[in-house]
Amino acid sequence: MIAALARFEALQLRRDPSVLVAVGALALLLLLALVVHLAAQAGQQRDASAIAAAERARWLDQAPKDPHSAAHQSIYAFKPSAPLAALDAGVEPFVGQAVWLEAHVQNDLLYRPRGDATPLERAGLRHPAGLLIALAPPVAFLLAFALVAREREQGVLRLSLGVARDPLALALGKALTLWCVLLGVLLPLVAVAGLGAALDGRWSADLGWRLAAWSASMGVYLAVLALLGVGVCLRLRSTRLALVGLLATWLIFTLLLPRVAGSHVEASLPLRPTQAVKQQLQDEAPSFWTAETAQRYEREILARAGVASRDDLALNYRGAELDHAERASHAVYDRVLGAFYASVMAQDAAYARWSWLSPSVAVQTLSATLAGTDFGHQLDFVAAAEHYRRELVNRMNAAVMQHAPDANGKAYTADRAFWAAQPPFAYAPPPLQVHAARLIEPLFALAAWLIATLVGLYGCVRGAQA
Amino acid sequence: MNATAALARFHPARALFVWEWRQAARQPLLWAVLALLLGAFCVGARSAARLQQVQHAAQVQQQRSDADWDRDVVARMHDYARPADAPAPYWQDPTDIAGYSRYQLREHAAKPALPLGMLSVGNGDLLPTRWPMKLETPFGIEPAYDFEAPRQLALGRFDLGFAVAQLMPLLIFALVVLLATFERDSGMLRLIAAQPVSPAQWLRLRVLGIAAWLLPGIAVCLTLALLAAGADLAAAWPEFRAALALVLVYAASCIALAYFVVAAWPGAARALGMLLALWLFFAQALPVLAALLLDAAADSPSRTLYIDALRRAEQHIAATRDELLREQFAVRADLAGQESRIGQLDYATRLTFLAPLLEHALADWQAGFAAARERRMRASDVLGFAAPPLGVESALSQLAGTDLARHVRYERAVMAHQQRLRDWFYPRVQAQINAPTPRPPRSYARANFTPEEQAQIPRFAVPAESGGARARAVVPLVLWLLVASLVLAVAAQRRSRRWPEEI
Repeated sequence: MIAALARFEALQLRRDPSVLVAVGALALLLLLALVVHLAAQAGQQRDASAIAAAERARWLDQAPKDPHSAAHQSIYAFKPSAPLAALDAGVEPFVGQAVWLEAHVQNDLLYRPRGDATPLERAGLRHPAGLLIALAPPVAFLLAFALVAREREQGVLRLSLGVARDPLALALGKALTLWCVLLGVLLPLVAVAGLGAALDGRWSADLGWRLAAWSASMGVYLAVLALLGVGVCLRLRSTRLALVGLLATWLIFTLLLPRVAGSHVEASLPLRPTQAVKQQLQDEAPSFWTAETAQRYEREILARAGVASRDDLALNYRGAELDHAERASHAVYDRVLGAFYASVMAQDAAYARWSWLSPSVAVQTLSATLAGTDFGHQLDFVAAAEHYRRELVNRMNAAVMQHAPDANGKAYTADRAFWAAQPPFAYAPPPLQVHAARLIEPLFALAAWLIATLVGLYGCVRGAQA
Repeated sequence: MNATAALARFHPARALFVWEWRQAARQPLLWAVLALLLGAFCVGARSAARLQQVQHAAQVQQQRSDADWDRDVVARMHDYARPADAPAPYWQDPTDIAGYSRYQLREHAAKPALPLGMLSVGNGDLLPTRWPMKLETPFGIEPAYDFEAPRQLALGRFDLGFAVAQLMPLLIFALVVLLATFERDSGMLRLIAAQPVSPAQWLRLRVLGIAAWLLPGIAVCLTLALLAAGADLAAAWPEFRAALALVLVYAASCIALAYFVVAAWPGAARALGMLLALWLFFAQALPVLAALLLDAAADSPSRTLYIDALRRAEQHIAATRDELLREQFAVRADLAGQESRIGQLDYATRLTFLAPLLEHALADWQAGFAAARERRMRASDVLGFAAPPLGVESALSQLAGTDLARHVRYERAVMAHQQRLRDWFYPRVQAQINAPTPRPPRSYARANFTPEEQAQIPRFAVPAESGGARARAVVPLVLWLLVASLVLAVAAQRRSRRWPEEI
């Protein structure tokens, strides 16, 4: 019966040109955004792959030199854009995409795509997911208004509810119609995004799961909007009130709460200023150390080797000093940067908790994580690049340690064979399961929203009947 | 005859306005809207002020740290004057001018917050507020940045700019529409039509009655929010006046737009739906479409390809280092005959010749980035006139000093300061090639750079900024919104000349 009612309601909607214009405009805008971002992403991906290959070639072709100097030249690692980034770029526009893996320093990822965005670029920085989350509510509410409030205005609704054998089915039919129309906006997006990834040669089972989960989350979000829209229109007794109610709902859930949540999280869990973090790193793990620090290093190296002077060491002292400083810095970076990144993740978790207050926050969090563009995915790359850097620099320093200067005092130089023995940097993003824990809370919250709006709709039907 | 009756008899329009004005004040919705605006403005201003305080504290901490480092360097300069069997490595020796220029120089240029910074976060959360000064950094600007939670950057902040540009219009639309269509929706319009008042006059006075409360209320809300966030209005009087004018004229344009829509006598639902659609187009869809078009045009050089160019230039310079130095020596009269010393030059001294060469190799890229940014900024400014919410947010950030244009001016000042530092250091470092300062016998220190000289190193000077210039920069937008408001009001007046036919 609900399906039959939904078909009837769809017929009604098709007669309203403003509804068709609103839905069509939203669908076109989303598809346009997706196509432009897919094209831009493919271009960036091509550039990054080409330059990564050039970096490897430069590494292999470098002239024979001191391995530690080679560790300073080192390579740039490029973060591959997530295959679903064209759907939801998440934090990607605001985090660095390339990192220089050099000796002594865990550098920041640099070259944020929107690092110097103009106001227009920030205001217009909406990927399909962001547009859908922000603009689907007004469109859904317009549809709900057309389906319910106008019937009330014409006096048809009272009659329908009064004579209906199952008034809830009537309301569900309206919500189902609305949801199907909204799905008509969502499904082409999913198809184009999947096709784009396949054409780009990046399709995988993990990507399939991610896309399916992303579509399901968005589908639930749209269902919540449909139920909410129909419920509010049923509950409020005049069209004026219904419209104000819908406007307020959109304003609060989509415009206000996400930003208020962000500000609240920032105020309650403030990040350490970058200045303080960098200062601490510079103080505790200097890339150029003073003569006094060098003397301390010497004492520590000799004590660890159990010898009294540099001449008694079985190793090249310069290499030993470089290795000592490098390994000491690892612990500092793990402690200082590790704690800093943990606080960023804690902020994200606190933000996700606001999912219980707004379905928009829930679906925002889910979308970025499923698309592989949240900060957790960024951290994966940071960790992988840093792991590679440490391995590479340690091997370079080990080569210096193992080779004493020749009889003329000339330092050891490594050659192409040694460079080629170092594996290239390769990064494969981890599968979705690794990030599943971050999905749980917003997923439950979105499910709770669905249940709450279903129950709410039932209550609204009862209220409207009364 | 009491005063009101006399007014009604001799000045009916004025009497009707007074009546509408009093009626508007009795509407709880008016006060609810003003209360919401006050709350939103206060939260927004506080949020921007908090960011400003954090950034200021980081700058102060950085200055302290730099000063501590300088004190430590001077102490080491004195300490290293001691006799020793072996000299200190040049890169650890602050008395070595070359080593100092590369490894011991520590200074940060800071972009200070302005007194009305809480008006808008603008790009203040995205762009760095301090730059480390290094002699060899290409074009003076390190690509480093202060880390802000990227989720927050993507989402945008709840600041005063957002509250004014995005929230205020929606609340104004709701208020004007609901108050101006009440009689229409409740069937009372025919009673009014039976009175000796023209439809245009009645609707105009109804809207004016609302505006007469709303506009002063918004001015009070803005002032209170800024004061509550700790703004020093006296220190930023021109910017404050400009901000007030901008916000009021923007509010007036929103009222005029709502007036234009309700002048066709739609019901509340239709009017609000139409205004919402217009707002969605101007505040959301238009910037997205324009940004997509700009992205599709993609005339900005690729940062990824720039890295490749940088690496190729570095590799070329490293491979031909001695040859390049020989060319430099050949054209310098003071270095003629010193070519044999090229192989013994330390890294820091070599950099004084090679860093400008690297910049020269990358000059086209730098010019390309600057030109592309200039074009993007122009596009953003122009679109601000077509999409007023964007224009107003952008103008508020100009008044707050958190805009991209001010940042670009600071970047230029940083580049100029780097050049001053190079002009100060390079001749001193290079003079050591030709006429090295004699090393004191058995000294730990190189002693060709003294604490007295260190005290003379040029310091970054904050560029002079004028509040008046910032205020003048937003005048075109204010005038544009004023003209738009007047045109809409006149059009609404013409549109409402007849009562709706169905009454």
